[in-house]
Amino acid sequence: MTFTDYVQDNQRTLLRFAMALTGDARLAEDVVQDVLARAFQRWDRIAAVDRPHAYVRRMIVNEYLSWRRRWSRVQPFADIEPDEVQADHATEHAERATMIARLARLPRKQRTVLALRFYEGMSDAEIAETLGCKVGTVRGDASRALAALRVDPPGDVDVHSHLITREATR
Amino acid sequence: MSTTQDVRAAFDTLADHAPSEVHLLLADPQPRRRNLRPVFATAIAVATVIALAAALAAVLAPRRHHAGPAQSPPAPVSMRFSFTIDPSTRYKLLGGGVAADGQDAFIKDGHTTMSMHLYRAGAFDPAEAMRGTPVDVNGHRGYFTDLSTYIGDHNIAWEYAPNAWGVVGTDTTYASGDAAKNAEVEVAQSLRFTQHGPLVRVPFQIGNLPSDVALTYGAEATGISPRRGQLTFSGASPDEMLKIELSSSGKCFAGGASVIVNSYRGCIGRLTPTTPNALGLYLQVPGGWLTIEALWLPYSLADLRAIAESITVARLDQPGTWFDADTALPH
Repeated sequence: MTFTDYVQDNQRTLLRFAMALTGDARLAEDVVQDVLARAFQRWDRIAAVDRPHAYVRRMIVNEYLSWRRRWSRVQPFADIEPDEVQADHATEHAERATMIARLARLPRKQRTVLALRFYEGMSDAEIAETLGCKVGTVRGDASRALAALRVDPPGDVDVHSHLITREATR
Repeated sequence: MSTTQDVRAAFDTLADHAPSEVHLLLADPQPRRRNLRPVFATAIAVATVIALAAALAAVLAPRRHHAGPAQSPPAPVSMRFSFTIDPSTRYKLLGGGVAADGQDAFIKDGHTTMSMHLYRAGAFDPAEAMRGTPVDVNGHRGYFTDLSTYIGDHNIAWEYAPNAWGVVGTDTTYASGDAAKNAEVEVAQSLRFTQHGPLVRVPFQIGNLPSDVALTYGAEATGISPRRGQLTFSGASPDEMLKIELSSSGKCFAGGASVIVNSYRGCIGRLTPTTPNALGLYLQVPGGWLTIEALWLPYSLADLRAIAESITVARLDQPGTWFDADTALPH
């Protein structure tokens, strides 16, 4: 797969993931742009790995968590509200907006863990591999984040079926 | 109480607001050896449409400006770092910043990049850190731990002055916790605290600045890419911000009108079509982009232009020509 083919096939997916991760459209675009620029320069090596998309996704996570991205003092606001609001869905709309606002206030590391678990549908072991940390660290961060979000403990989280459902609707 | 399904729905909603495409301008780095293949500057326009205006609208539109009685801007912050790095160590300062609540620094030892934040006295609650493993940093107490508010598995936090704490983290994944601990302690030990540390340096000098803002943040990045320097000024309200930055990377924002200031071409206008009080003036200057952004301040585009006209830019690739933060401001 050439780099151009990869970007054409995956840029939308990468941007959506970066947006979920960062909560900021401009930052998401910057992160993806920088990561793809770096990936381009070593594409031969990346294309040779088993799962190049997983590799690039990990680059995006690392870029987001990198100190380079914390240089800016202008923090993402992430006050995005759901579109297509209907009157009888007002409560749902308000709850969604509240959840997005709470996500924006999480420390980046905790937010990343949740994005990988609930948006990407990754297992804790996969998240630990992506973040280069222990599974226990992932679970601790997830637990603290969910507590901050005032979310019921997940119990038997069936993230994989969620991922399959969401992929099918894309 | 919410459910995990609500979390999933929130992430999906956010993803639905992602930009539609990303614009890539790709170029090979400078060749490191003469016998390498020649530089090829390949511009691959994977997509040319950047919905920056829409993106900024999403970012800025929900904000509300809290108009109230006239207030004064906050007290200006001294742009002087309170530390240096022991020159006998292998650590080099790549960049850093100074704000009212503390100082950032980015430090490299040849292959590992460390980030450090020095909190001002009383600004860091050490309770979480103190659950970690005790370490000694030049006779000061510290702890090796995993801070939830910091990056990576491993951080050290140490009390560099009474009730004042510093935190070191690393982007690198170490093979063992001990290796990370040793590296981070070594960085902390390389610091020398002084009241006469260097000033933040920026690659521009401002001749004309409104009087209703005060300098609250300054940052420089001379040893990393993109090179850049930034000064941020705050108004009476926390929302009010004037940011001036010169960076080796940049681009115009969508929807901006063409403008020429001091013979430099660029764009000017609202950063988002829906928010009247988010204005920008971006200029392509030698080696980079000068950006001036005013958020929620009662400024006009003419005001931004006047600021831009008064700015003298230094050579981005020659940090020796940059200006100390105090001389970068009008007197």
